[in-house]
Amino acid sequence: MGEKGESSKSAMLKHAEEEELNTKRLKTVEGEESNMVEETENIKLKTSDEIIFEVEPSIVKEMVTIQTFIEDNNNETSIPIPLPNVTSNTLRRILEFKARGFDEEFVKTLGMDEVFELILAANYLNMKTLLDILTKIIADFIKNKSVEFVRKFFNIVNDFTPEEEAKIREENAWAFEGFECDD
Amino acid sequence: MASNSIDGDAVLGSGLCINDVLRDDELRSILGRVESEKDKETFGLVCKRWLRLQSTERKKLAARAGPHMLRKMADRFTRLVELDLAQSVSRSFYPGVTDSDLAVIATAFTCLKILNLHNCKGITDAGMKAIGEGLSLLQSLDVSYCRKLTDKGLSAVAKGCCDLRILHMAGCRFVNDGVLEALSKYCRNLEELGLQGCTSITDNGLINLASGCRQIRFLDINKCSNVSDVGVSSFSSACSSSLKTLKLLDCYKIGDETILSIAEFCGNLETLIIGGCRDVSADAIKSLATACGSSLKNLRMDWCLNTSDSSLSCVLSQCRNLEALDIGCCEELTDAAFQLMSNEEPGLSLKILKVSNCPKITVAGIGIIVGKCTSLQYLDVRSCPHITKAGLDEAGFHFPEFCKINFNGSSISEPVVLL
Repeated sequence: MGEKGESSKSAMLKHAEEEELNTKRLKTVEGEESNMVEETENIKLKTSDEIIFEVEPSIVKEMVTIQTFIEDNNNETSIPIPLPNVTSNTLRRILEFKARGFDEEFVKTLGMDEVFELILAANYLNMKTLLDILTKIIADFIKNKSVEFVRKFFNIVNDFTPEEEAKIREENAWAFEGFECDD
Repeated sequence: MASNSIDGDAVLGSGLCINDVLRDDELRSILGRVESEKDKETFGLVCKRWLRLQSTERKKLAARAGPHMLRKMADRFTRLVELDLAQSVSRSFYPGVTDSDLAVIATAFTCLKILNLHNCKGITDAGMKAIGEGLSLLQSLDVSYCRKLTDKGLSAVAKGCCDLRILHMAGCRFVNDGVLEALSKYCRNLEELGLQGCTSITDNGLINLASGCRQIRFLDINKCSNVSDVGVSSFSSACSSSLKTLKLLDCYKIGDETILSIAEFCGNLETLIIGGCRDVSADAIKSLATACGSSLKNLRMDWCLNTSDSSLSCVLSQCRNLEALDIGCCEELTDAAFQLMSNEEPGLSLKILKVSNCPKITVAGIGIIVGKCTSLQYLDVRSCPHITKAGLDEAGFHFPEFCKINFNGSSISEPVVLL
């Protein structure tokens, strides 16, 4: 696609800028801005399985990756923004979760596989609040649990030899004594 | 993608292995939410990948020494920023930290910014030289009570660690002005310097220090009995706007010149300790209170024998943000100091008040101050013959709920803010 795609994209952006300028001209009376409030368009998001979602700008505010994309493209919002790392199911969950005001109880009704998908998406979209809630939920499954429980819970194969594990435990005895948590 | 819900009763999480789904970035975020040390240990023992993440993410370490074990730790904790090897009554190990340990630290923990060697009595200048040569990123070093150290070793640290911000060497009595000269030359960003009990430090050292290090906000020269007005005045004028804490306990050569210099230049001073500076006059204290009134939070002036009722009254009325005050052993003070505060004046923010060994202060004076200090947490009235528990009870004063009153010093621990 290369150059052709690039030139059509820049032409589209140029066209959008001209449109915006015309709109501003219409709103201007004798060189002064009128008090009319400019309506903001919904933002289109295109998931990895080619589904397009239209969402309000207020929802996108928490998605830093999308905000950056929009800013890098001269605030152009008419074309769908591609999300190659997010499926429609996951985005639907995120929007539902956002609508519920980041309700932790809602997350607990999901399957662990879905939570993993949400973590990947939240990290990709740079949604700090959502990522914090999700990672805290996973971290809570480690809290006060044995190593064996954690391995079993997360389907992890123990790749330490008994000697290696003993060595690490010995180091820990020397290295973790009486120090506060890391910041 | 259906699987068990992740409510608290779930025994098996998912059909997928977490390591097949999440990348290091996401696992790091999860590790960041693991709070206790025990759980962090558990995290690292799950598998080699989790161990690598746990080890590289660890920034702080309190450890016992020994070159062999330190090398192992350096291999594992590759991004360590803070290493604590301090010794104390409650935390000690044989044979303690040695120069061999410091040689390993200097070559192996190259990202280190904070090193605590408090009370590691075995280390010498050779170990310090290694630190200076190896840890160029070091910003904070505590070698308090490492009694074998001299200016040679610490000058090597100053030369090699140009970004040093904090240096504590209390009790290093062989340290002299040479260290201050080296700091002045190489460590222009120095902010905090602890020299308590370094009795070989003189005015020349302070003058040298002031010529290069002008961003110092904390200077502790408690018990440095060879410094006088010349050095401290020079220092206070050089570090005027940055200086927030100045400790001059038992620097008996200090007099009005220093206090007036502080009043003139140090408008942001928050903590001043001049206990035992017996030559400071009442007028100098008034000047200080007037000049530093809005910033001063902690003032220790026990054994400032010239303190008068009018000068104390000036301190109480001018220093509206004062939280801790020690006027112990100021034998001329009377209740009049408190009575001079008018009733119209707003309350004081005092949390700690020490009036021990003030024989002329009575229950009446304490009553006035208690009425003004609704935040009082600690009151020291030891060896005040006119102030007894029975007397205070009889007077019926209403002390703040959590206020501790020290009548005889047996069971109440001293607040550390004025030490």
